[in-house]
Amino acid sequence: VDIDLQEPNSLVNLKSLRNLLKDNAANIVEILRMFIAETSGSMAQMKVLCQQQDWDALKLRVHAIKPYYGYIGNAELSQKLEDWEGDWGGNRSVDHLEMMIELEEKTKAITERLHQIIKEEYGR
Amino acid sequence: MEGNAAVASRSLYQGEDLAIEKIPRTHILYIEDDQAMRRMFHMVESTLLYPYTFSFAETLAAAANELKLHPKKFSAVLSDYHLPDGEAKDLFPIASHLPVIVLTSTYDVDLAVALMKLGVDDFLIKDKDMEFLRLIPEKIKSVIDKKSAQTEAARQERRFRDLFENSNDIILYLGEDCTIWQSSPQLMQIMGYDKRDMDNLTLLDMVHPEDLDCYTALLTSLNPGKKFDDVEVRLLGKTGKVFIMEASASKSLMDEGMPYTRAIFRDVTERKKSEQLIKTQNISLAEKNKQVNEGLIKLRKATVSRRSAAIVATLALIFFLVSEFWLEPFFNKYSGSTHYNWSFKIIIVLLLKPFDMLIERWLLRQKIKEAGLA
Repeated sequence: VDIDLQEPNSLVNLKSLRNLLKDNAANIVEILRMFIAETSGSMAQMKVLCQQQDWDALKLRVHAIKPYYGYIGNAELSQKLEDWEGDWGGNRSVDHLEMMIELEEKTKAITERLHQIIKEEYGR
Repeated sequence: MEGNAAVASRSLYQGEDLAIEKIPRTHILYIEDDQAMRRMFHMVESTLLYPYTFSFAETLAAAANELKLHPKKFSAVLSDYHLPDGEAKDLFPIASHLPVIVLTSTYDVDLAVALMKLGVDDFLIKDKDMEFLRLIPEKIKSVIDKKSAQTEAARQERRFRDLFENSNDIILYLGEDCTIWQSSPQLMQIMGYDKRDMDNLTLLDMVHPEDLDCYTALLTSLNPGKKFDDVEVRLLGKTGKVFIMEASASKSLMDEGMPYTRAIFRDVTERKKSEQLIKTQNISLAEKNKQVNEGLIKLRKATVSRRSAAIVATLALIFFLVSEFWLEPFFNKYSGSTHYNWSFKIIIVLLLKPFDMLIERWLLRQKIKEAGLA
């Protein structure tokens, strides 16, 4: 079942990951769980860094989580993070905060969707 | 051999996994701080990334440590550009002996050029569909082959340079007008020129004036791909000392199509002197030998002459006695005349000289033969 093909603008598109891992359920679930663990941990850290206005450390975190959105096929968010990292100017705290809010919301939705996929499609 | 071939063949037909087990794989060090990417590499190692096996390092420091611990283990390094303790450019000189491929998420020409200058062998963009993973084996093979070719070329270059610098011959690379582009150190060591001389002199300035026309004609008649060998030419050292050289030369084209001449000179001055000395000595020796032989022949001749005279004198005496005591009574008894006896004596006397000469010649020939002088 490839629900992503039916929902082209969805938050998650696992086509590439499935192709790459040859539909190996165990491997796919492992990567999805890695996404969940990495992004949830990073979101908490990034919120603290925003509050502390430690932009350099925040940039490093953005760089670290950026590829994960590519793995689960969210090209739009992945590109947004890349632009965010690329345009890093230093003290543009408002922009960072706006990005953080959007990122957190979308990550939360992605995480819920991934939990659903893991449960419904892979029975785990 | 047949057994091994059979195992390999059977493995390939029994399935991909078995074949992978049997064939030794090439170790690659992958420096990546992204845990998910490392896991995915591991997951597709036996399929997409075959025939390579990956060891992972999360940081540059860990990579340096791994390379230090296992200096011969890895055939190439694959590295993410941004790493927790630095960037891929900091890999040098840690991994400068290995081919390096850098993975970046965006294509940046300036960064690519800068990294290439540092020694990075290739780039790969981590596209969002992760198609880059499929390209990795081909890229790795390409950089390993390229590095091997470079290493071999460098090794060959070192060998040729060693030969060029340590050869006993003078080796010159010349331009069309015989200007010296490059010379082996022997030109300075043997002929006493220094580097400043090399800037101002052409090869033709060093050729002895008497040999200049001939040698220039030889050089100018050379076409690319042609050569001449073992031509004797005299060169002048810095102090004017004359060196006899055995020269060879060949003309070739450089990659850009520009012709150059490779000239090799072997200093044979001492050899030529020795050869001349030996030649003079041989002539002198032959002359002395001849004199000794002639003296010996004269000596033998004198000895033989005396001996043959003695033989002839003895024979003459015998004939005289025979004619006196035997022939004379014989002729008297049967003819009543002594004229026959006198005739016989006269014949004997007339024959003595030729007989003496014959005996002398025969004895001399025997003596010469005995002495090995014939």
